Amino acid sequence: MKKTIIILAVFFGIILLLLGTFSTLSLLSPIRAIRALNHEYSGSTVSDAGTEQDYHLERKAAFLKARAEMAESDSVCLVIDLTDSLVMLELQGVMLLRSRIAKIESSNIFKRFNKNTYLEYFSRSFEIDTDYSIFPKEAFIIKQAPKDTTETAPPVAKPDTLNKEAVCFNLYLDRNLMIDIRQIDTLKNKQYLEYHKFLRKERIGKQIESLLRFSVPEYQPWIRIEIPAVDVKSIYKAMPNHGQVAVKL
Amino acid sequence: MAEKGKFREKYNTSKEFRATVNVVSGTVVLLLTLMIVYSFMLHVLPAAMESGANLIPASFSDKDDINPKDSAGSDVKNDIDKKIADLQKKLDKQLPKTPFLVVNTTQNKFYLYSGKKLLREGMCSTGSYTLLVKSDEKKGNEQKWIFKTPKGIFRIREKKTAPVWKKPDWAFVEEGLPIPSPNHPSRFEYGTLGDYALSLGDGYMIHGTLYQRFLGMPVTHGCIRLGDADLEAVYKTLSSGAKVYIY
Repeated sequence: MKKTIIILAVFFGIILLLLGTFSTLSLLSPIRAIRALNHEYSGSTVSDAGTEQDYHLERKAAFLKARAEMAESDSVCLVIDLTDSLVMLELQGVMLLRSRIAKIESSNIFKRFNKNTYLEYFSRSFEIDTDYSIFPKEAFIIKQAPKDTTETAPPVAKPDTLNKEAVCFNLYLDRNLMIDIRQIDTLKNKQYLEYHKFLRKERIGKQIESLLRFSVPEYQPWIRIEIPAVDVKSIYKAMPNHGQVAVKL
Repeated sequence: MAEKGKFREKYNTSKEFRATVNVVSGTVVLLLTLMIVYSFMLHVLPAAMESGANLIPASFSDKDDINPKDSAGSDVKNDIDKKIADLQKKLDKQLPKTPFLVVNTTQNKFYLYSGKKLLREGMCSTGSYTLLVKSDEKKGNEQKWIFKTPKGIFRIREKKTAPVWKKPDWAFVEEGLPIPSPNHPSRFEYGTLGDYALSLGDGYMIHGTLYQRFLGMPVTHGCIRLGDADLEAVYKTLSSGAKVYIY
């Protein structure tokens, strides 16, 4: 009996020690990320804005600079303005779609950026590395041509089933930023849970891999916004595969 | 002797029972531990990651803390103001000088603009995302047509009143009819496209429709269909060469 208790105590001791180590490494993750980012952009050429007002104007300028850069391309670009709670699609500077953001959530890390880091990080547009979506970008209906007029079907239009679907997508951008765009009050149906499980598996898999090597896992800054479902679909379907994104916090 | 056998049997049973209990309890403890570790990884570690950021003091305050008087008249402010004005000017320069049309193929909506001013908006119909397949068993080949509205920036190439639709091959294939010669009279249909048509090139047009009830739905073969009044407004507002943004 005594032996069993000792074995259990040692076992749980090891487990607790591991969990404690993992927690510490996880806590260190954003700290290291902030330090790395602040270090990477500390030698920037951006002028050190004097007052808070100057700094906010600099942020506005950085955002406009990113948009002006994107306007030179021939592709549809995504503009996320969290200050004014707006998401826009732009093509060569022309606003195609404008949607009001109902809810914003983001990493705490952004508030820890120093001024130059912020200005440098957001003054260039981001490029989409990969994206995941709960719905397809283009879904084709395959129709076999009728052999003769007796087989011809009259024109039919199916009603939009948008309201019954969970609508969200995730953009993984360069400079390690993740953007999660979803419908207001996301429908948490089976489809959504499976999608969420898939993303979580991807993320946690990487974290566990690092932790098992006893190294600090990589921290990914993120932004989550909620907009009407029709706009979520419009944005995802309009964005090219490696499209550009400008963000203002 | 018999009592001794009974004792041994009882002792053995109790030993086996204890072993079974040990195995079961061991498994339960292991499973519980795994569950705890799993939920820890799932919930505690991500939370710890987010909390880690709070350990560093915030670098800048929120916009509410700004006092506009802080930088009134400063050189830095003037420089940044000029930079902002220049960038805004650069962006505004991109806006077409003449009225233009924006088409959202996901929502099947159109927006008619003059500069930043919205002149008109409404429902339209765009490509149905249908892949029409015609299999020829005798020849052993297959022909395919994709009914999708192209995306990007287009220009109005030609404006027509009372347009006549020259039916392409797929229109016959779709109805199960034999494909006629290129200029066969059965290819020409009057009134189908409405009162006006604006060509975007490659056979794609903005035109009217007989199926007004389908406006707002993706039902076309790639063209953009508008209601009668909207089509007239678009036709009268857009000049040849005007830009059409389709996304």
